[in-house]
Amino acid sequence: MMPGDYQFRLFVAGGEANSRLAEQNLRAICNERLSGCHHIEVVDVLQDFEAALEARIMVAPTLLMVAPWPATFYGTLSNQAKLLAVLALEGDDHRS
Amino acid sequence: MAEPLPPPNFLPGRRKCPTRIEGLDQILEGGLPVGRTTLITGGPGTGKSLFGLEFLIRNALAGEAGIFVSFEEQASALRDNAATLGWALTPLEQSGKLFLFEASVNPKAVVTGEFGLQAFLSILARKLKVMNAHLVVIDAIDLVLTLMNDPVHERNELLALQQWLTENDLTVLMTVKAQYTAEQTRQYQFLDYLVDCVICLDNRLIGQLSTRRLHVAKYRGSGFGSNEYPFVIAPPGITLLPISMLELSHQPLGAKFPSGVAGLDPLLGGGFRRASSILVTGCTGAGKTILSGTFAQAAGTRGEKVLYVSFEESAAALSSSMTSCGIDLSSAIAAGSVYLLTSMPESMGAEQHLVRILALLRALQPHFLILESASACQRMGTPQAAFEFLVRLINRCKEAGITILLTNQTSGFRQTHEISGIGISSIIDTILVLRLVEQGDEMRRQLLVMKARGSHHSPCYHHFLITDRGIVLDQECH
Repeated sequence: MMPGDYQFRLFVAGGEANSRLAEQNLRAICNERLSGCHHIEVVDVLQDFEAALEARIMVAPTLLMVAPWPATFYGTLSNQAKLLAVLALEGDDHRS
Repeated sequence: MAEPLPPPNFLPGRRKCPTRIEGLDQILEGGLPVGRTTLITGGPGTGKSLFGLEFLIRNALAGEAGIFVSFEEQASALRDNAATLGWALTPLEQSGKLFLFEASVNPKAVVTGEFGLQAFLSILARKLKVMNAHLVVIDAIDLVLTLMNDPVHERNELLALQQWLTENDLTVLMTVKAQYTAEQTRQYQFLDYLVDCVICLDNRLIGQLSTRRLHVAKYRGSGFGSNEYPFVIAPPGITLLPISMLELSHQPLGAKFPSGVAGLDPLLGGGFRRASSILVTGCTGAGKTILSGTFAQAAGTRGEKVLYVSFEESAAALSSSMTSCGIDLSSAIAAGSVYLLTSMPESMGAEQHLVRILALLRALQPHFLILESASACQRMGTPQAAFEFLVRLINRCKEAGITILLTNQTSGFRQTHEISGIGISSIIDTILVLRLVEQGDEMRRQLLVMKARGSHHSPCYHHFLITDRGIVLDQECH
C-alpha cells in the first residue's frame, strides 16, 4: 500500500443480494478509477460478528473508507455519481 | 399420532415474564408475553427507555440476563440516566447479566441504495447466545429505519425483524416514538396489529402539574387492567399505583389505645382503635394541630413510631407552636420516635407525593401516620387528584395496619365529613369535630365525636381548653 491509496472495508451479510450488489459496484469503480491504488477488505458480518461489533456496524452492506480520509456509506452503492463525489473523483478521469 | 385437541373454550394460559416494575405486573396480570414483542409507545420524555431499562435491571437482579439495544444513546449516557434513579449498571454488566448494546448509526453516513439490519441481528444473536439471554429491549429503532427513507422498505425491515425476534423465542420490549406523520397516523402504527401487547405512555399537564399515565391498549390472549394508571419516576424506580385494582385487604380494626389527650378516651369508649383511620375536622384555629401533636407525643412516650406529614407548616413553625402548648415535638424528633416530613403541596404532583410517603412508610414502618391536612392536598392539583391521593394513602395504611390521623380544615359551609367535596366517610372510622362557639363574650372550644366505628361514643359536644399542658377536656356534655 502506498500513501494516498484508497483503503476500504466492506461489510456484507453473506451472499445476500444488496451485499453482492455493493461489492460489484465498489469493485467496478475501483477498477475504472482507482486501478492499482486501492485496497478492499470484505468482512462477512454473519461470520465475523466481532469485527462488526468492534466497528459498530449495524446495517449491511456498510462501506467504510479508512484512507485517505474516513467516510461511511450505507447501501448498495448504486448511486455512482454520489460515491465518486465523496471520493473526490468526480469529473475527468485524472488518474489512469 | 396427532396430539389430542384441547377441549373447546380452553384458553391455554399465556406464559408471562414479570417486569418486576412496581404495579405494572398487576396491570399486565403477570407481566409481558414470553417469546413475543411488546410495544411501548409515547412522546418524548414519557419514560419509554426507562421502562425498558428497569425491566432488564430488575430481571438481571433476579438472574435473568438481558440486552438493551440503543440506537440512540451511548452506553455511558444510559449508565448516567440509570444512576439518577439509584441503579448501578456496571456490576450487572460485569456479571454478564446485562449488556448495553450501542447500535447507533453514523448520522453522517452517505446512503445510496438499499440496506438491511443483518449485521445488527448477527451481533445480537451471538451476544444472546453467549449470555444465554432471552430478554431484549430495542430502543429507538426508528433512528436506523428512517435512514432508509422509504416507508415500504422500513416496513419490510420491521416485519423481518419482528419475525426474527419471534423465531428466536425472545421476549422483547420495543420502544416506538409516538410521532405523527402528516397523515395523522403514528409512525409504524401497523406494528400495533403485529405485536401481542401495546403499552402507551403519556405525560400531560393537569392543573399546572405534569402527570404521567400508562395504559395498556392491547394484550392478545390475556386479561389486563384497561384503565389509565398514573405513574411516577423517582428513585428507586418507576412506580405505578393501580387504584382501581386495590383489593380490599384491610386489616381488621385492632385493640383500643389511649389518644394521649386527657379526658378524650372515655368519650371514645376507651380510646382510638389500632389500624383505624381518624379524621379531625374543624375551622382554622380550632386546635387540630395541637391534637395531632398530643397524639404524636403520646405515641412516642409509648415507644411507638410516627410519620408526621405536614403540608401546612414548616418544621420550625410546627415545633414552636407545639412547644407553647407543652408538646415537645423537637425531642420526639431527635429521639427518632417522630419523623417529620414537611413539604409544599404544590411542589410536585399528587402521585409523586404519594410515592414519597409510601416509600417512607416502607422504610420507617411506623405505627402511626399523621397527615396535615387533607384539605391542603387539593393544592397538589385537582380535587380528583387529591381525593385519589387520600384514598390510596388511607388504603395503604389500612393494608399495613397503620393507624392514620388526618386533619381537615373546614369552612363554615362545607360538610365536616367531606374532603375535596367528595365524601370519604366510608373509609374513615372515627371523626372528631372541633369547633369554636361564641358564648357570651368569649369563644369556647368544643369537641364532638361524630363517629367512632366499632365503639360506643359520647353523642354530644364537650368543652375543651388548650393550655400550656396540652388539650384539657371537660367530661360534661354541653
